[in-house]
This record gives sequence, C-alpha cells and structure tokens, in this order.
Amino acid sequence: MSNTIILTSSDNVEIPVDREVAERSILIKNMLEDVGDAAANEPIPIPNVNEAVLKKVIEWCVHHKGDPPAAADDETESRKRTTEIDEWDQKFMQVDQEMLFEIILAANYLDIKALLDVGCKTVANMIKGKSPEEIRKTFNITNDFTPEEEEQIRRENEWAEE
Amino acid sequence: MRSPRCPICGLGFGRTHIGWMNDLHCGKVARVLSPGAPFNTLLVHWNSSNVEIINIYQYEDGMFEAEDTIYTPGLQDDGSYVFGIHSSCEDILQRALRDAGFGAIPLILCKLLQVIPFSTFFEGDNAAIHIEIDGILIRELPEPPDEYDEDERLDDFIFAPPLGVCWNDLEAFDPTSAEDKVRHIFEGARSDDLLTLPPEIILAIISYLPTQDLQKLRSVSTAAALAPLSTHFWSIRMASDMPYADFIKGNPCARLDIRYKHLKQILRQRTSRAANSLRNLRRIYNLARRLCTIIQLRSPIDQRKEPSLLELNPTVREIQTIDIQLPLPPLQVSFITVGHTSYITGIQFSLDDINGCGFHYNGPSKYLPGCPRNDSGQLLFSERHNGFVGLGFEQGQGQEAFLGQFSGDNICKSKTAFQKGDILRLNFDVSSNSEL
Repeated sequence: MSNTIILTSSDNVEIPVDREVAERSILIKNMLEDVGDAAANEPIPIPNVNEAVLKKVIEWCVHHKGDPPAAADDETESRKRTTEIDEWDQKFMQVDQEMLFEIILAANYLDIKALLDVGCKTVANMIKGKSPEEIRKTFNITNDFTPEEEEQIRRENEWAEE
Repeated sequence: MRSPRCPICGLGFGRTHIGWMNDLHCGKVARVLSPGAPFNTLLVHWNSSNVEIINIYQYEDGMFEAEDTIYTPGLQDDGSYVFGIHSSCEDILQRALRDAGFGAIPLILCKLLQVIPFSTFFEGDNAAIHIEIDGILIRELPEPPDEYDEDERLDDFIFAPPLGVCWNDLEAFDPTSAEDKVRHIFEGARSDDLLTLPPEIILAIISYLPTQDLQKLRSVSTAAALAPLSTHFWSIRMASDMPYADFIKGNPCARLDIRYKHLKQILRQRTSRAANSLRNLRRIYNLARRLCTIIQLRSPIDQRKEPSLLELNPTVREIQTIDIQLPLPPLQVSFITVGHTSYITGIQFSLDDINGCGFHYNGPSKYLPGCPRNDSGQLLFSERHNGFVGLGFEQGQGQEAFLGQFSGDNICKSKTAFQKGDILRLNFDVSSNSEL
C-alpha cells in the first residue's frame, strides 16, 4: 500500500500528500477504501478546491495528523458555546475572509469535521461582542432598515439589556 | 423563633413571595391548600449515613406534616437533621447535582446546608466566592464575580427581544423551506464568499453564538431579522440556557420539546415579577452548579461513597504524584470547568492506558500528542490563581502543541527548558484543586 497519494486540485495542480494525512478527510478516506490499493496510485481529483486552498487544508491536516478522530455528534451537545480555539489553529485561520470561507467550504466538502468546527468558530468569533454596525462592517452587509425600524430595534435591545 | 426558610432560595413556606413558584406542577408532591395560599414543599431529612427526601402534606406554624410524622425543622432527638425545601428549588438543585455528576443530594451538601446560612449564600453573586465551616475556609472559588455577571447577562436568552427570538416566525414556521431561508441571515453582504456558505454551515456558526450576539447579528438587516430559526434550534438552546425551563412547562421529561409559545405566554402574563423569579432560578441553578464544582474540587466524588466532613477539612490533604520522563509522551488530559476556566485535574498516558494520576471524572478530556524526540526542548504551562489550565511543548520553528487555555484574565503562560531524560513531576492535590 503506497504511503503517498496524489490529489488534483480544481485548477489541475497535482499535490502529493501522505496517505495518513489525506485520510483526515473522511471523503478521501472512504474513496481510498472504495477504490482499493491498486487504484489508489491514480491521482484523486478534488474538483471543488483550488490549489491554494487545498495546500492550506493539507497544512492543517499535517499539523493535526496525530489527533484522535472526532467524536460523533451528540444532539444535546449541539449547542456549542465554547468558541475557544487552539493557538496554532488561531494563527492558521489568520487569513483574509475569502480564504477563510473557502477553507470552510473545502472542509465541508472534504468532510473534515474538526477543521469545519475551527472555521465556524472563527466566523462566530468575528461576530461575538460586536454591535450590529460593527458586524455590518466586518461582513460588508448593507443596512436596509428604515430609521423607524432601527429605532425600534434599539428600543428592543435596550429592553433586553436591562 | 424565626420561621423556617428554604435554604436554597431563602424564602419562607406556604406564603412565598414568588407566586408562580407555587403554581409549578412538579409532580413530586401532592399539593395541599394551606390557609391562604397553596404551597409545594419537600423536607430533607438526613443523619450520619443517608439523606431522605420526604413529601410534605401540610405546613403550619413552623411545623412540617409528613404522612406519618410531624417535623420541626432543625436537629432531631435521634441526632438527625431536617430542613424544608421548596420542591421547585429541590428540582433545580437536583438538576444541578445531576449535571455535576452526583446521583442524589450528597450528604456533604446537607451538612453545608445546615451550617451555612444559604439564604445569604444564594443572595448575591459574590456570595459563593468562598465557603467556611466553623471558621475554617473550605474553598476559595477561583472565579471573579464580574465574569459571572457578564456570563449571566449574555446567556440570559429568555429576555432576548422579538428580533432575537422571533416569536412570530416561530408561530408561522415552515420546516420545509426554513433551512434554505436561514441563508438570508447574511443576505445583502457584498461578499460572494459569505453568500455561498450552505445553510447547515450558517446554522453551525450560529450555534456557537451566545443568544445576545445572535440577536445583534439578526439586527444587521431585514433579511437577517426575518430569517427563520427552527423551533428545534430554540428548544435545544433553551434546554441548555435554562435547564429548569422544562418544569415551567410542567413536563420534566420533555427536555427537547419545550414550546416557546407556551413560555412566551407565561412570561407575558407575569411580566416583571415572574421575570425576576426566572432570573432568581437561573442564579440558583448556576450557583448550585458552582457549589457542586466546589465539592468536586475539594473531594472527588465516588458515587458509592459520600465524602465525610473530615475530607473537606483543608488540613487533610492527599497528594498524588506521577513522574513522566521527558520528552513528553502522548497524554490524555482531564479538565474540570469552573465558570470560564478549565483546570487540569488528571493525566493519563494514552487513550487506552489506565495508568495516570489525578481525577478523571465525566468532564472534558483532551489529547496531547507526544513531543518529538529531541534532546532538549521547551515545556509550556499556563496557570490561573491556584490551578493549572494548560500544558504543552514547543515543536520547533515557532510551532506549539498546547492543550487548555493560554490567555484570558489572570492566566499566565510560562516556559521551562528540559533535556532528554529529565523527569517532569506532576502533583495532583486530589483533596482540593488539581495542581501541577
């Protein structure tokens, strides 16, 4: 069984990667199990992820190679308050918004739950503690409330914070 | 003689100031109309070896009437002790105990309830900072009160305004189209990337937001304000924000089936005073959880064996020591969470290995991969007050492997150089907090 496999990004760049690292992706792991060892020497197309994002995802997988597999979701735990992020992951996620959302989409597509969680927590942390106006600035969202509606929201928020 | 009071909420029996408390349908005790007002009371009876909860059928002139005995609260002739407790308060306490891993009201808690004026213990947010018995400091809680205040305010979801909770949307909620419509939360963003996120990812992001932040997010645009969130989403959120909410509804079993419309009705019918009562119950629950944490920190609970008061004495200390040869091997690290802070309570050598040290209870545990086999390196620690909250090592080239918290109020991070073959000794004070 080869220890290195080739991933082909959406822009047709071939990236060699350790099989163990690549198998952090449940999509790739299942794919390798399905095709068998002989076919695993063929490049695996990752049509939804470009080279830059794929390299970034692989960097994360290399760092977290030894981590235990993610636990199955518990419905009662689906309310996830803790947005604490590992220091390395915080630095890893210090990218522009376009790259951040592409990493999240790639993690979702490749089925890498832990990376998806880190991405979602990073976006949540970009919202936490901010006023609506600051959130609008952060994500370039247009304020389409009328002055009357805005005043109503302000009054309701005051009531909430009494 | 002062009339007896519930040690949890500090209020009297029969005629409580919190009207709606008497209307709860807890199903644990027959409600009997006493002169003037209904009441709902239990009696806690304990002696040196066990704790018994007794249903009360009548309360009059400071006397609790059970099925076959009339009790006067306080010390009994046989050396046992009884006190009354509102069944709703007992419900909250039981839930807090259960969430903290206790199977029932532990004896030690009854002893604390006897010696501590709990009406004052639960009165203020600062009151639980330290506990004394007979002048002996049992435990100083390493939690600044300001953080707790902030935490409570952020989590006080029930007071979120209509834009946050979106009652009207809930009433007209259509589950067939809701998932797609949740994308509207970011509608109007001038970033295509944000708009490409699928609904399940947006829901995942939202699930990490405290309700007050979610409310602010929904205040950024009309599309965000009108984006529906399912009853299921709010039910889960309410179950975690207000663990006592299910018995407001009157059905303690339907944890995930709380109807928001019903709660809205209750809240709107009983504005202000009921709202204060909810805050009070929430505070009781949170403080009871903190009390359980204190007990756990002092003396890890073996479900089959209750700790004695002696074990709470701070002069009785039990230290467990473990030596680890460096470089650091792979470790499973257990934590206990007190407010915002998670303290290291135990270490095991690997996921499957039972060899370890400290206290491994049903709290979160995390995996720390082993150090590379270098001849030397740097160990990393972070600490807060009287406990360690993080452990790790430098991997070289500026990279670190680290578990736990590394920043925050009063958290200090430090480094220690080591050579291959050095021994790291970890001492866990299993009679109180864990220490390295």
